[in-house]
Amino acid sequence: MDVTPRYLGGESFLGRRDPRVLLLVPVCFLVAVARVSDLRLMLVCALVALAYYSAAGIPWHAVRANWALVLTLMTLTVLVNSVFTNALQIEATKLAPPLFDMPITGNPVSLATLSYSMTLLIRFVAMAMVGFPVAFCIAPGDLGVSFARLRVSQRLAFGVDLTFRFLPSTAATMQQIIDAQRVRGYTHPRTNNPIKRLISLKPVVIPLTVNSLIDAEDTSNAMDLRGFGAKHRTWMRELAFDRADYLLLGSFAAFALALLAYKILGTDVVWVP
Amino acid sequence: MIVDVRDATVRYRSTGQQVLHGVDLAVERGDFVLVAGPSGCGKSTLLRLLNGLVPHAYRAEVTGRVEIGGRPALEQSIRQLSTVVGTLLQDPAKQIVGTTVATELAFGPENLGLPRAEIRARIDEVAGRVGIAHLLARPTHELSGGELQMVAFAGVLVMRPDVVVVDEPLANLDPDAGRRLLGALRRFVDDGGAAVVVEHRVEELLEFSPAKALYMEEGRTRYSGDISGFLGQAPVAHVKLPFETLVARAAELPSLPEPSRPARTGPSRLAYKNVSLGYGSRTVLHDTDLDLKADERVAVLGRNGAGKSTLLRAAVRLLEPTSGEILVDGEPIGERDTLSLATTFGYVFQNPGQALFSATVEEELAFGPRNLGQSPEQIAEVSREALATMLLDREPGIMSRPPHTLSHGQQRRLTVALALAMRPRTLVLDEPTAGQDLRTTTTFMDRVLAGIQSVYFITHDVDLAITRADRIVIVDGGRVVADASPAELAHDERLWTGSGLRETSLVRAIRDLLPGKGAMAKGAMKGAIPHPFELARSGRTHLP
Repeated sequence: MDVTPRYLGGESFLGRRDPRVLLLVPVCFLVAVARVSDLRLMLVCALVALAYYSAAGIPWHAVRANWALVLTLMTLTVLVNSVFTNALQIEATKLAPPLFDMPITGNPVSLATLSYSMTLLIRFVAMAMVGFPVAFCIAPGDLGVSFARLRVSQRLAFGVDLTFRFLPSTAATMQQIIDAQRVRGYTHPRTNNPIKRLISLKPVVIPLTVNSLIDAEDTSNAMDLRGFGAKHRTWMRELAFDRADYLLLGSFAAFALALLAYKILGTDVVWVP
Repeated sequence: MIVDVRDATVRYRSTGQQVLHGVDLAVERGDFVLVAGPSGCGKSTLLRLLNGLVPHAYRAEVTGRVEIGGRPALEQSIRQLSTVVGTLLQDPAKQIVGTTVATELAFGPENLGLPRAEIRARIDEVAGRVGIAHLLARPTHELSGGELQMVAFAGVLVMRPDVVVVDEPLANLDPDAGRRLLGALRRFVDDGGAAVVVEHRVEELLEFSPAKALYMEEGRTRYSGDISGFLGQAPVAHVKLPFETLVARAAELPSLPEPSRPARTGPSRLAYKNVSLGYGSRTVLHDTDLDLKADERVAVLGRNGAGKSTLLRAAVRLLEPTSGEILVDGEPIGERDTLSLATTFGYVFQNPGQALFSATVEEELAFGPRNLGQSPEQIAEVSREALATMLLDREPGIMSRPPHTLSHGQQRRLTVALALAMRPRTLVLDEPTAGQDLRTTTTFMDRVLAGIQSVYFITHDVDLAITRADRIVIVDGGRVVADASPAELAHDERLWTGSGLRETSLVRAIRDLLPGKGAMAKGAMKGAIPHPFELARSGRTHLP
């Protein structure tokens, strides 16, 4: 299992940006698209996200599996919450005349339901498009300093760095534990019962947890022994916004403010064709 | 004086156990100090006392005088002490926190709040001095074991400490990588620094001329002084001393009746026929032909990452050959699954913590046999036998104890017992004695070899291979480069200049004292060699 962080968009337009831009743009975008109900407006937002994603230069073949997983999860979430059930309790979907009732759950499905479901799905996909560059266009070693320069605490910022540093070795340890148990006859659970599955993972989960705790204590001591924890810390990596960074960040901030104003004025409703 | 410890005692508050009793240690610039002693004698606690982990991280009552850099250690924080005492841990993987080598080296100076220009200057200077300048841009997770240790050492040096304390630097390194690290440490001392090194493999350290030695037992100083005095007084059964020292002390060596093992002629147990092995697209071993017998003790030697574990993991199908065929007891391995192979090969991994998960030793022992479908009565019987073989049955209430409450040595023996409970016909051990003192190693290997006729083990310890195996396989550069008896290998001088191995004094003694190919038939060089003590006694009369 390879969980090594992949730095895929290093030479692209977004790869050349200050990593703080890549962290702040998704925040702006989240503010912009939160609670947008109009499918037409969401399509515009999705086009913005697509343009942004294209600028990341992430090769499709390298993230095909990631997109397949993300799209599957998002589609299931949307179907369960707004088509099979009306868990989100959107008023417009109740008012519109139903086209049919969903089998089993009996949830009435109207054009408004389908429109809102599509809005939800596109929102999730657009957010994923804006989020992917965080995972693939920021050099793993830059994450800690980026958070630190965003005034997150030094310990938390370095914790982010450490997470990426220890992901590969934790995965390697887990593989060794699985191997150590396989030679004693352990096999992956073949049951659909989630509780039984959980219990049968004990031979892997317990050693992994114990080893991780021991390793974490050793690493914490090793960091203390190299002076970690002082109030003032230099980050060798220098970060500086350039004109393109300001322009990109400013555009997304303006986009967020504009949509926020649009939503506050109350003109955003579920679009029913 | 950089370190001035006088009459120091340490009692851990968590356990109430006193682990140091009136220990003295003085370290000045230019000192290279060896600290030796059996596992659990307090060596690690002494290092923790020097770097401040005791009492700042490990709560403990400390008495006596402990001054570091001319100031009482108790009055200094770990951070303050870190500029005087640099610490290199046994496992560098836990010490390295940077995602790249450059960021790793920057970590310490960044914590000191140094200006960026100075950090860069320090990194360039230390990387050049330690010989890792070419690695600066490399991700740390891609480094080999030897490279990791050198990077960890550079990460310590870049803090510009006065003294470096090193905890068992050779435990996880092949002899070649170990020598590079010790060479760099020696240069640091020669340039005006000082070093305190805890190490069991004394002989390898002696080549780098430590001036002082501290030998401890049960938290007390048993010897403190120069190296020649240490070599004259260290207990021969507890410290692995150079062969020349054994010869000089031949009169006091105990007699150890070692039954001679004739050459093995059993049937094939594990055969590789033109086998290539690897991970993904990376081939680790190429075109391997090897036939390990069902009654042999085989040691597999080679440098870090050479493919030793890869070779033996294929025996239990933890990876599949990319080409060629593996036969187990003459049958293609593809016809057996990992569970069925567990009754042929009992595979024991290096870290006991990776296997232990049950609430009690009894449940832990039952896991394997239960997977084989054995009845509760059979499980109870094999569990008792396995514990008895590894001498764990003498521990009171062992069956109901949680495995993690056993000592590290007991946990190692328990993991062997877990494999034996599956009643395998061959044991496969991955680095069974790494980081263990001579007495623990001897006891452990005695129990293992008494418990089962056929054992294949991976090790970096050349002397362990020479003294405990019938046959030694050396892996290097993706191929098996040697496959012979210990005596044959000892006489093959060209082998010891490559393969990441290092000729020990015992190897030289075998060459000097046992006849070579020219003097005797090849068949006579098969089988185990005499115990080093017996060789030393004979060496007293033969060597100049």
